[in-house]
Amino acid sequence: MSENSKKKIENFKRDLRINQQNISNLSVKIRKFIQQIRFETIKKLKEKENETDLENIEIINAILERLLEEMIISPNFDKINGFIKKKNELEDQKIHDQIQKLKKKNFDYFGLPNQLSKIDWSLSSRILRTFNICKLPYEFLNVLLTTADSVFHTINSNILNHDIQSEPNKLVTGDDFLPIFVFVLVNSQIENLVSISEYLIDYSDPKEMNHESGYYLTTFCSSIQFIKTSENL
Amino acid sequence: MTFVTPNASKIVILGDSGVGKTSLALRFTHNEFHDLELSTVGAKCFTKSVHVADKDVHFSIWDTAGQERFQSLAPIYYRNSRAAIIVYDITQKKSFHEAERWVDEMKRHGDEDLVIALIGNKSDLNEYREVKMKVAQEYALKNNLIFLETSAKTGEHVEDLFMKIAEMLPSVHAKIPENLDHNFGIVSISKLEEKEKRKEKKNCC
Repeated sequence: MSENSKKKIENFKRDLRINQQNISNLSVKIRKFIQQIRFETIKKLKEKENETDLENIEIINAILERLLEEMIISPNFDKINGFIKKKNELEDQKIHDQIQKLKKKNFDYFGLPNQLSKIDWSLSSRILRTFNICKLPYEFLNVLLTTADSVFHTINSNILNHDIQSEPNKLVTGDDFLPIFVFVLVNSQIENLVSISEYLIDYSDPKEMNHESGYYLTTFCSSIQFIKTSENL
Repeated sequence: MTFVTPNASKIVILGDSGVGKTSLALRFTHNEFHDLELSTVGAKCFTKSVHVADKDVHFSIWDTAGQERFQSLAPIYYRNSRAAIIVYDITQKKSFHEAERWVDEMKRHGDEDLVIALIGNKSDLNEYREVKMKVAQEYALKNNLIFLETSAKTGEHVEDLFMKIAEMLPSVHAKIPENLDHNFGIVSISKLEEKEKRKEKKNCC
């Protein structure tokens, strides 16, 4: 990163004001700035290197995103998080209450196929629980990806160990994944789910949102909505 | 760490549960059918590129859950999609009616330039057919949809489907968010509800 960019970041951080009034526009301001620095840095790199291939640019982009989140969002996380939590206090409490009721429900309430309901999903729930120590958007998105991986590995290890009966070459479909994820989320003991989802939607790298991270963030948001609207508990 | 394909066009796959949505995506992206090893990969967002009219079109294909209890969550998934593949099972009449419902929903709530494809899957099971091809074809024609019968099992017409979609996309480039405020291809349900309410209010006045 150039000295000029570093100077811009310092100035941006110095001038950043975070209060209840500007919290809704703050994410736009921060994201625009991160995009701008990333764009400028990549542009300079392209000018410098004649043959920078696409893969390298994507790797540099991902590293820059992490670096900029660390530099800009991290020092302000507690303040931002505090305001978002305050705004969503009632919604967070509502989801918390719904989860307490859903924890008592059987697997079939979530629409899990019979054979998958015999599986122990506690590993996936424990992985997702590490949300409680995440601060930066990329950290949350990585936890979502790891949780999704663990779901598929859990299913396959159960099939391979013959703990569950399965058709030969059974494919775990989109029909199966969402109910499993809802179940895992309900049992993950994460607080302030609405606040977390709002933070991630507002502060995550928009470039990722049409891809795998975006897909699992969408599944996370959908699961919260399912919990919120569950009736007859 | 994941690395993204630049400017990928998002395609959402909708349809009743068990019609073969995941199998279609897997056949197209990995040329496989029900492969046990691949299920460990855990990707329910599949990616692949095709070359059309001298351009590379990158697809990001989003699988969804088809059960009725999850239908209200679909708008979170199909937001910002460039194309919707609505799948039914040719051996299940009920799944065709469900597909008609999805077509209505996408026409009402999808983006103006959304490409919609109606797909009759499991064409390898012709002897158990409950949905006549002619009926589906006429419905597709009337509603200006791409129509194909496919078999994820044999691979029949799966590649054709995605090539047709690529050809129909208004631009080979993905939409770049006009602004960064809640327009990342993902939006919370409450914000969608607000948008719908505003739309309804506008229509009734």
